[in-house]
Amino acid sequence: MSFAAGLLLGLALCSITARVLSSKGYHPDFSRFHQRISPEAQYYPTLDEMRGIVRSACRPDQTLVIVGGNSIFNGVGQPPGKVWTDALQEELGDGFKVVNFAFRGALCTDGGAVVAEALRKEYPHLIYVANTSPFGSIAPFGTEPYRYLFWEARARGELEDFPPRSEALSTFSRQQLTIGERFEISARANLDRLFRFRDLWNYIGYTTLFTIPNPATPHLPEAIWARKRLPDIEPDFDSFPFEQRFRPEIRTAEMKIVRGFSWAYYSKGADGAWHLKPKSLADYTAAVEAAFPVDLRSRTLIMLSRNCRLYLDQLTADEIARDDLAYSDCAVLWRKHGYACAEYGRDYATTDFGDRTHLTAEGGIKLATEVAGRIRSLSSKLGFTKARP
Amino acid sequence: MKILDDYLRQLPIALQRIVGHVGSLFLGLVMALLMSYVLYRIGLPSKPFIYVAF
Repeated sequence: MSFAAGLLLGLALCSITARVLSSKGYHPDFSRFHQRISPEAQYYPTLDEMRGIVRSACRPDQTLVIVGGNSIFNGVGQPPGKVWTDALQEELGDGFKVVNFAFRGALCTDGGAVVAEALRKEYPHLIYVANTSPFGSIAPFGTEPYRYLFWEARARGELEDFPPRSEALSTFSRQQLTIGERFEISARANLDRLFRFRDLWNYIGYTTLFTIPNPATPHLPEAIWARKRLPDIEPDFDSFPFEQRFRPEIRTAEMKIVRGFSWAYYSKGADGAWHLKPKSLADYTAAVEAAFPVDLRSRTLIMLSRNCRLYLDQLTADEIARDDLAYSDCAVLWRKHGYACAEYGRDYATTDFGDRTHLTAEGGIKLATEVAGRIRSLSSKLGFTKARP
Repeated sequence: MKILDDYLRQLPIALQRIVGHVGSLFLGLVMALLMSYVLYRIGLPSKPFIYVAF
């Protein structure tokens, strides 16, 4: 009897402690989830942990800007102090608070998107900005390994009831997940909703003792160090010589990727011009439609990432025309569905890129200036701030 | 353990019961913490995510 009481009391105490600690936030001076506090190092930030970061950083009088997207927006190749979101914060000034929740290999619907949706009522003055590529994948429920955040938010009732996303999710579950996997996902998310074990042990792992074997710190004593002791060691593209950033042995493969941004989606018509294939249009329209709930779209800025000029200059005039069309068609489609959308990088110099797609610190500053202007105008359009004269 | 057992048997019955309850309660608390950790660990992927970009 006493043992059972102790067990229940213990579980309740763990759950309450985790809720309190996470909601307050325990990442002072947060800049981004760098490699050593990310799924690459077996550290999976929780929804409440990320909300805690926002709560401890953003004042009620500020407009919250959550940055999502992939490694480009995470700031790969930009060491601490040179991250583009720092420049964005500087550009926007004190009226805004920029929080970088972009992850390597994530989609525009991952990470920051889930947090933005979960915070939509708490922070009505919120803008979500993320990057993607034209016709790139936009699973409305995110992608692995970041999909856990979607399951977590969904199990806690933090997401909107949005039929297009529910339908896409239902089709995905039926076609891609076994009954066992569906049960496991649901059981894990619901148990965590009750007991908050992920929140509790993430807190302990970040502040006191980390217990998960991981490739970022494979050897003792660093292996068990609190993750807060591990600095962001993102290398600086600017310190790499040109030949290392644009390695000749991978240029052919990179060109294939650059061409892949548009070739599969267009066909030549009888008039000799490129035309978007009806299936590509239908698939992408459905994805854009299901990506974000309707009321969040007006607060969402999608930036379409261009490839480095070094590669674009190797395209034929015909391929360039197709590439340009892909960007403009995608931007029109996003805008048609209520999002703000623009491309960036078309006129950036090769030195603004650290590789085919990631930006150097200099490129990051250009991106920050461009995004800041769009955020300011979106903010003023939404009535968050008065328009500047 | 025997020393502890002998020591507890010397205590008044009422006190023995209280110590027993407190001990069980404490064991329950420890088991709850352990259970929480096990749930956390089994939910993590066995292999970390590897991000590849070139």
